[in-house]
Amino acid sequence: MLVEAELIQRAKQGDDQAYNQIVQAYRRRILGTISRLIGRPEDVEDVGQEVFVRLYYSLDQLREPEIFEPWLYRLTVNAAYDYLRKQRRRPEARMSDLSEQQVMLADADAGTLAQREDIRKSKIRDFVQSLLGSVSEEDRVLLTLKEVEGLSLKQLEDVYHVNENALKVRLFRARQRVLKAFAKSEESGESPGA
Amino acid sequence: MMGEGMSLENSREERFDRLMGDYRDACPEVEGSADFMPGVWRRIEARRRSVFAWARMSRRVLAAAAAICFLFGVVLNTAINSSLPVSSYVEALDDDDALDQLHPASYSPDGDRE
Repeated sequence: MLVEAELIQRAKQGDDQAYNQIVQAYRRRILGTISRLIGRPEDVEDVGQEVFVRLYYSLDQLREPEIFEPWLYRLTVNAAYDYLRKQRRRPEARMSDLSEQQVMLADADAGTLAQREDIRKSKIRDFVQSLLGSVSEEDRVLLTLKEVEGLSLKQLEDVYHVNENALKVRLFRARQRVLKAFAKSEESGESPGA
Repeated sequence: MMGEGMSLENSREERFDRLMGDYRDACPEVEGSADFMPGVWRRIEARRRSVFAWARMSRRVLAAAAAICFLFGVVLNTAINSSLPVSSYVEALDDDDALDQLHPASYSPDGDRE
């Protein structure tokens, strides 16, 4: 854990200073996770603030400080779900939606090595996000937590409150669905490595 | 033929795992702006204010409902008390008129009162 159990206990009892310290400690990690879950950098801070507000108002429901991290991840996942549900009705132009010509123009503008590296990373981000966007929100969130955030099965059990076997089945199915979309995009030459 | 398909699947899985690793590296660190923490506190305060406003409003509604109930109670009680006879049953029987009306002789056989 990034903070001591005693600090969590103090925040639970209404110590605002302790709460501030917890936010500072987890801020970067939670914002990073949100960024990968929702895939829209411009809204990451907004969702992040929502997570920490929910943390503030539900901290008194946390029974054991030891399960704080999976619990915070649960709040994060729920806030990300809420955001994704709201966004479902608002389609937005993304890099992967741009025409080939527009992408080539953007490539041509970036001359330096650093810029080219940025573009490569941006393409990977866009590709993976569109890949994960082709499956359900549940699959997307679960796979991001497992494959990208690197959460263990034990941690995922605490986040989802399901047993290991059920989790393995869900993970397997989610992975199969994404792999299917991946195969399709490789065949059509959309993959960044293609 | 089947082995070929399996190895194709495996290599696809490997490529997918590699892609996920690249994605992890490609995602920039998100620090949040300098306004992140003040923003969190502004939201906490705003939610607290709205919760307090609701609590205050529901307390007022509750007090008004209690006052209305009390008033109704008082009005109903007064109305019931005023419609009830003031004297007791025995006192009513003692009353001359009442005795006359109750005496069998005060009734004619065909039902007409004398």
